[in-house]
Amino acid sequence: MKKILILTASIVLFYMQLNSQETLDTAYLECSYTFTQMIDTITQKKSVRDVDMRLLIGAKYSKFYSHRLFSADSILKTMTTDEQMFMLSNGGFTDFINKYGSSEAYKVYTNHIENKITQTDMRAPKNVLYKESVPKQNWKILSEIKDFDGYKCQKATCTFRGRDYVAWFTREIPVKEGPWKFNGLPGLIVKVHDTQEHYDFELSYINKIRKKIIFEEKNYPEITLKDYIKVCRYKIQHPLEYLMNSGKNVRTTFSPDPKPYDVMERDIK
Amino acid sequence: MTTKLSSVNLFCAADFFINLHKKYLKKYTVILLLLQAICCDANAQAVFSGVVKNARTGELLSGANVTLHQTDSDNIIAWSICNNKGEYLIKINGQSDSLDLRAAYLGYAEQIIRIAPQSQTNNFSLAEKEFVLKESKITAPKIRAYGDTVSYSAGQFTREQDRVLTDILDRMPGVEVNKETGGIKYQGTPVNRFYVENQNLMDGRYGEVSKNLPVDAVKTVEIFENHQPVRALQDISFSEQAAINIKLTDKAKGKWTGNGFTAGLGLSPLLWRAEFSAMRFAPDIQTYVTYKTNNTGQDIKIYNNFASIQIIMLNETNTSAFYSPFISSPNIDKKRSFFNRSHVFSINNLWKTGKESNLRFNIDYRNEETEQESAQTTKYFLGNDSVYTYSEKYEVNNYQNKISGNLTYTKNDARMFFENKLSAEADWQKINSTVTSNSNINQRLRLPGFEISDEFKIIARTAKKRTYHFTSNNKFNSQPQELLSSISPQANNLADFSQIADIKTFTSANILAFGHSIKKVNVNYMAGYDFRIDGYDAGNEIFRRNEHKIDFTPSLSYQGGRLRTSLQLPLYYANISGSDNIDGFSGLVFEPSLRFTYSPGYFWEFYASGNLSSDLGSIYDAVSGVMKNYRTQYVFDGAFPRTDKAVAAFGINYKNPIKALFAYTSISYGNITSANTGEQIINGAQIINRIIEGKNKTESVSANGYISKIFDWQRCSAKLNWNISESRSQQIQNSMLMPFSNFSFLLNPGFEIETFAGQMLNYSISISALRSTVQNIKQPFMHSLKQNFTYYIPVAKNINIMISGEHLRNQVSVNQYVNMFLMDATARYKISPKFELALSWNNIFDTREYSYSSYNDLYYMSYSYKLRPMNILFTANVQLR
Repeated sequence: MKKILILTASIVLFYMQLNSQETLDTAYLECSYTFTQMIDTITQKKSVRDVDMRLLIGAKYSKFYSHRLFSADSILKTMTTDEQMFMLSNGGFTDFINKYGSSEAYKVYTNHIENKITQTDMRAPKNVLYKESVPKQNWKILSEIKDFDGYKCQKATCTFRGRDYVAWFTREIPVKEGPWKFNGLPGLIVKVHDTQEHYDFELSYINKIRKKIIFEEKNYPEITLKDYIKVCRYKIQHPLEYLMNSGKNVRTTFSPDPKPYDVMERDIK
Repeated sequence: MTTKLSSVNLFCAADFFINLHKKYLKKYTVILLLLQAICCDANAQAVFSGVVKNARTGELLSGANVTLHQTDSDNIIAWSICNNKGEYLIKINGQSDSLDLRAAYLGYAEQIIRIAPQSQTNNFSLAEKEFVLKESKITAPKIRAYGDTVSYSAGQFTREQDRVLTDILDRMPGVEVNKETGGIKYQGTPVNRFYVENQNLMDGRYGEVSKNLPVDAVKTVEIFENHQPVRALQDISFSEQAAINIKLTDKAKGKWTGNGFTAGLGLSPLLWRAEFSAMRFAPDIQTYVTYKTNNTGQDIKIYNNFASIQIIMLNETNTSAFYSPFISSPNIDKKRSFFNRSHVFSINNLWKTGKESNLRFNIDYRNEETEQESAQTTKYFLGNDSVYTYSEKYEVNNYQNKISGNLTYTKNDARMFFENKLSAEADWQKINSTVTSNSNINQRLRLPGFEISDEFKIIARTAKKRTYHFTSNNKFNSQPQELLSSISPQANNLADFSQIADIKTFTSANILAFGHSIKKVNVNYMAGYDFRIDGYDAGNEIFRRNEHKIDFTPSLSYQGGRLRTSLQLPLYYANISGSDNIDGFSGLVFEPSLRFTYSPGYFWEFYASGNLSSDLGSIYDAVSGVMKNYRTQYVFDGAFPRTDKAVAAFGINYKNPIKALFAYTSISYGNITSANTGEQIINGAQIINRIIEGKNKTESVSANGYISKIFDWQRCSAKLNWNISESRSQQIQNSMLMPFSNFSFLLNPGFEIETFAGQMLNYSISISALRSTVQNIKQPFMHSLKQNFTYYIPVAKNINIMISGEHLRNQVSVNQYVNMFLMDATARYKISPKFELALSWNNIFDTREYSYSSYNDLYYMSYSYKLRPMNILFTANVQLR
């Protein structure tokens, strides 16, 4: 496992340096979500996959990405290649890789003017991106009210790409955004999960900022949404083969098991 | 009505299908619901539409949301998000009552229009309004790291019982706070700057702000590692010290904040406490004002935590330390043994005069009267198992009036650094002490002092990374002193005396330097001329000492990927001359120092350092015959008092912001060779500390460490400090050479945990062991143990109780231990967010005396101090916010 993570991290690093950047907008609000996934649907075991999935909200664009991966990268960027390899190969740093290695590697850019989504991923297994229209989610607002750390939230439900979701949003922060592709409620989404609780995003903090929203993956080759989901599903079901196909020489003495869960957008076959 | 009926019927029909096959259910329900929807549409549909725009500019607000509610209800019936043209469209069915149509957008005030339930067009014009985040637990991750910055989110470290910044700083792993002085260390090294919103208002007296800034005004605490405060040197020369920057919440920025007004009264004896503190941190001006007074044992002295960072060439000698021992401090919470009447006033202001420059002044005034009652027994090891024991009881009154101030102008941009600091200080100190031994002794010490100094520094940098540097520091210090001692009846070889002297010092240190960079290596050449003139005028005897130094210091520093190195090679020529009673010196002195720091990764840092240094003494070494107190005389019969010191150290720092785990450990070795050896002549109660010629070597090894971690579980945080040291030296006691060594060990773990809902327990224990070996005979270990706890209980929403206690177990002689229990309790009642009442019950067990022992070189000393009796204090506080 360690080796895979080392490899993954070095692939990330390699590609990070190749990409050109474009400033899209200036964000005025920064929200951080904790992402929890049921990693075993049989034993119902849940795992916090990322404690800092960041949503940047600007007037025209919003961006959703793993800040942990970003900060892991910025920590790694301060080191030389030798240092990175030293650190990554040193057993004492397994935690670092475990923590960061499992971070979500996708980013969702939403263009609110053109109503377009661009999702990029640097581990699919290579860099890719795909575009689609902002998906319409037919939210139903219910009368149930709950308090989340002082914010009055109202319940809403919808069915989206094969899963039924429950969301809690607050009108006290009147924006239409939410984590991942969730959008269209009259207030910020504070918590959203599917009814089977396989995927869960919960707001951990919110901050007023002035920060650039930068599109970092301009050179990524474009594929279709269907192909992307295919790759993600393949990665879950055939982790070893997926790794073999990532274009690097991999020598492993073990074979990673297929994961007992499915992708979020499970009705896209 | 019809819709409802039809849906009931249809669902009955659906029920039938459920029994047939579940799979069909969904399909049919969907179809049936669609049918129902169409019916509804046909029945009574109302359409609401319009645009939402900015009231001031008319800009259409795409993304604004419009929600439809029952009147005066928060429940949403329907909603719409405005499209690119700012348009909204809401359709509803069958509503009879009037409705509220609300438009909201971040950064704008919500607008509500009451409407009848018929189709209509309503346009909204929203007024701009700043969006303010709630004070909420939805806060930032605990610790973030980027580059050389480690950023702690204040909210994540704040517990209900916390009031001021120091309370949360101490909980941040990697950060340590000295409770008394407010001094801050990061990874074991004192910080070199304390900024609030990137401005240096308080300089070394930053403890005042950290001890008075309310926690809810703090948003983030940032640590800048290897902070170079001079911007013109930022990519050229590095520092091994970190700086701390306090970022305030949006609400606190530019507003008056602080502890506000506090007033308290108590018994017995009659106790008072009054405080006012206010501060404001605006972009162009920062202010801190305080007035405090109490007789409750609270230490309100303003400490300068940068006092040790002094100009290299000036040997600081603290005149009042020349006299010993008048006031000593027991190793117990200061407020318990501190009998005081104190007043402190301080005003500090910083103006930003330009983008990169500021003008600052700080003025402090303190008036303090303290009393101390203590008893001490000293055993002097005279060799050959013979021991002389002397007991004395002290009653000390100390009066002090001190005023100090400075005016500083700083310009700090990428090309140039300029700073001039003009400081002045006046101090009137009078200490009266009554000593009861076999005789009654009255001692009186007066120390009126005055000091004025100016520090001037200019650093310029050219485009090619060349730097030019000029520093000139000048100081004049006058400290007359008067020590009177009257003894009756005269016994134990003691006699009356009066000792009056006038001491004046002028120092000047001037440095001219040039630096340039060759790739990653920075080379610096420094030339300096320093002089110091001291005068000690005791009427019949006059000492004069003139010291001149011409120095040249080449230095190299390298900062590569994982290695930082600095090498300094100061070589100076010193000339010391003066009156006949002063030993002269003229010669070269070399003081090289080298340091390597290696960081294999982000988490680890290893360093090794070594340096040689020499001390050429001061006028105080030469002033022979002077009385230090009623029974201790200092006699100098030695050679030129030169001391050479070699120090080597090795250390490891570890930081892991992700796991909130910080640790460091270091070991150091020191070897001090001095030209003279101390001799102690014990002649009854009279002690003569004589310095005689003869090489003396002191070797010491010490190791220390620290580890701190925050856990997610039960808001738990844990800390551990440890220290081991051993030193060897020798002293002549009653003409017998006695080698001695001292060993000490200290272990200090502590933790904080949430026990039940909101209740917090903070516990720490400190275990120490000391042992002296005199003439190769090992004395028994002296053990002491100290346990502290505080327990915080939120009783009701506005009421909380804090109980704190101390247990001390000190060894007072070989097989005798003294146990002491001390406890306090405070109840607080918050009437409003601004107004709070508190009732404290201090020293609940009414413990009146504290005693402990220690080994000090060749003595065994046992002390006992009078403690403040049980008392009750009632205080009221109005916060500023």
